[in-house]
This record gives sequence, C-alpha cells and structure tokens, in this order.
Amino acid sequence: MVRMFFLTLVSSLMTVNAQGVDFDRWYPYAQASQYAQSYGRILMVYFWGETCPYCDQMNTHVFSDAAVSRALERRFVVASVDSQSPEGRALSAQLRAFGTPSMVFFVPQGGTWKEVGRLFGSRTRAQFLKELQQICAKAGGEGCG
Amino acid sequence: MDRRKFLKASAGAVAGAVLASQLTSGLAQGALEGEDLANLEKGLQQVLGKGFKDMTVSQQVKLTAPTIAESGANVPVEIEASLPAEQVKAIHCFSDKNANPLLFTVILNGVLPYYATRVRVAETAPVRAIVETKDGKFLMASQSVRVTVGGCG
Amino acid sequence: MPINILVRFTPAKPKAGEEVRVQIVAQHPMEPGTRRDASGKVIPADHITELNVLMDNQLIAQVKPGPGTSANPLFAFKMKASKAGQIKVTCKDLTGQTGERTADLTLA
Repeated sequence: MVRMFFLTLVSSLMTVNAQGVDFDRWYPYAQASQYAQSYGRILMVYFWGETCPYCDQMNTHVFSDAAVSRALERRFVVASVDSQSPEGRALSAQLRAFGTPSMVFFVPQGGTWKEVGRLFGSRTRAQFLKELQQICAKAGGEGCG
Repeated sequence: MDRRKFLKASAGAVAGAVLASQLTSGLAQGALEGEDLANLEKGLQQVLGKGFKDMTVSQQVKLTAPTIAESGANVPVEIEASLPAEQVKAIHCFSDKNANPLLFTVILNGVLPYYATRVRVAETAPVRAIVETKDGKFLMASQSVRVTVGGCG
Repeated sequence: MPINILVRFTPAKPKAGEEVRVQIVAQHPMEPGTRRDASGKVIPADHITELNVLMDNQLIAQVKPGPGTSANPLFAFKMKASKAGQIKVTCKDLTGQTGERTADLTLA
C-alpha cells in the first residue's frame, strides 16, 4: 500500500532526524502521524482547500497567531492535507472529514488512534485557542496552557 | 446562550451577541462589535503618537464599508471627508483586531479628501477611518465589519 | 520583474473643473508576513510600502499601504480636473522591487 511505503520511508528518515523536530511546521500525514507516535503528541489533521477563503483566513490570521502557534508547538503535531489531492480525498473519506477547513484530532493509543476532537469551519483566534486547550486536556497530560 | 444577556444586548448588537462567546471584549452598551481598544491603542500610539482619547468622533468623516464580509481578505473601504481639501493632511485607517492594526496611511497634497482601497480584516472588529487635519485634529468615524466564519462544502 | 501598475480615469475625459476618479491597481501579492504555507512555514512579508501619485511631476498623494492592504491592491483618489496633464504613479515594495506607470489626463 502507498501509505505503508510512506511510513517505511518516513521511519528511515526519522532515525536521521530524530533530534530537534520543528513542531512549529506542518508535515505530510504519514510523517506527522509518525511524529505523533514517536513523541507522544496530539495529531491534528488539517484539511484545507486552495480556493477556500476560510482556509486562507485560518492560515493568515489564526495559525500564525502567537498564542495559537505556542499551543500547537507545545503539544501537537500538524498534518497538512490538501483536500483536493488524491491522497487528501482518500484521507478525508477515511476520516469522514468533509469540507474545509476541517481539523481532526487523534492521540496514539495501543497501536491505534483515538479521536479526541473534530472541528469544521474557520474560527476566531480566541475560540480556536480555547478549543485546542480543551482537546489537549481531553487527551491528557500537561502543558495545555 | 445566556438568554438574559441576549435580551440585554442593544439592538445593533443582537446578532453580535450570538458570537459573544468568541469575543474577548465585552459587549458593553454602545461598544462596537469586536472592539479591542487595547490593541488599537498600540497602533495609534505607534503611527500617530496619539491615543484613542485624542480622536474626535466626527460626522464630517464618512466611512463606507460592508457590515458583513464573506472574506476578511478583501474588504472594500471608502473614506471621504466633507472638509475643504486644503485642510486635510492625511487619512489613516485601522482595524482593532489585526495583529498590526494599521491598515494604511495616505498623505494628500492636491487631491480631494477621499480614498478607496481594499483591506484585510483579521476577524470581526471595528474599522476606524481617521482624518488628520493640517491644524492637528484627528477626526474619526468607526464601523464594525463582521468577518464571516464558516467553511467550504 | 517590475511591479505592474494600471491607471484608469472615470470619466475617461472629464470636463474642465469636473471631479475625476483616479483608480490605480497594482499587481502584487501583498504578502502580509503572517500567512502560513502548505508546510506551515510563515511566508515572509512582501508588500508595497509606498505608492506615489504625481501630477506633472508634483507629488499629489502618497500611500503607505502595509500588510493590511489586500492582494492586487486598489488605490483610488478623486481630484478636480482643472487642467490636462500627466499622472505618474511610482511604487516600491519590501524586497526593493519598483513599478512606474504614466497616464495622460485629457479634458473633454
């Protein structure tokens, strides 16, 4: 399977790049889920569309907000998924995330994934920050802000 | 939704009260939806060396902007002052909730006191049109622009 | 590549003393410096910092747009068409690129 191949490829890269992963950045789904498992982070799968103005709104004003950036960098790893790409379409069907922007949250649990939250649509910085804190608290652990 | 809070909200802010949970500032009587005077003050001080208290609300400034913007990326703004052209030095424009609240400054020197452009508004907040006169007055008109939150199907 | 600027007068040929709207559009992304790209990296700021409007080489308006002005920005002014002349628009952005366009204002 394509995804299996990706995972193998990524894990071989991981050994080289195990130190100092930049969690302020976003990664392809396979890489991000690998990081979530290796580093015990919450996986946020972000589905976006090139032409959706609400995604642009999130990208320009919300994801770059200092407080939102800090919250994500501390406990999350972001998988950036173009919902229009073939992989993106397959993944949105698999995760039942229809429409953009969609953010689906998972934590690794005993070799599988447990969904801890799901958001659809753009939101203000204050609201998104609150939701991230709630999801972080639900996932357990410290440093939720 | 707290029903009492909803009923107490002024007529103009009723729809805004639906979004009240998303607002960091309160919906006090008379406050514009999304008002953030602390952030605006930073911008005013930085650009004009003046504060919000130095601005004079004036009917001589006409600000035309949509009350609801489908996209905050492209909000048309038109500012016109009913003052003789030779009295106007500059037109400034701010938005309370932008990371950098200054939207633009225009220095006028021979054109009529008018300027139109399209701006980015980060989230629902007032847009402030400030006309600076040559004798050092800052005349202001404000209007809230609601930036729709939503998604694409 | 120079910044492309378009200038349009409305009405196209005003009568002497009539009000004319000068509409300027620049082709520029106006990157605000806060937008994250597909890999989450913040795209560096790249926007027009100054736009000058001159009439017969005399500065009549200057805009300092900044990150709050939309992509492919519109800059519109009004002036009294007291005489025919040449409008010149110049601009520069954060990366040092410049643009220039002249347009003749003719009277009816």
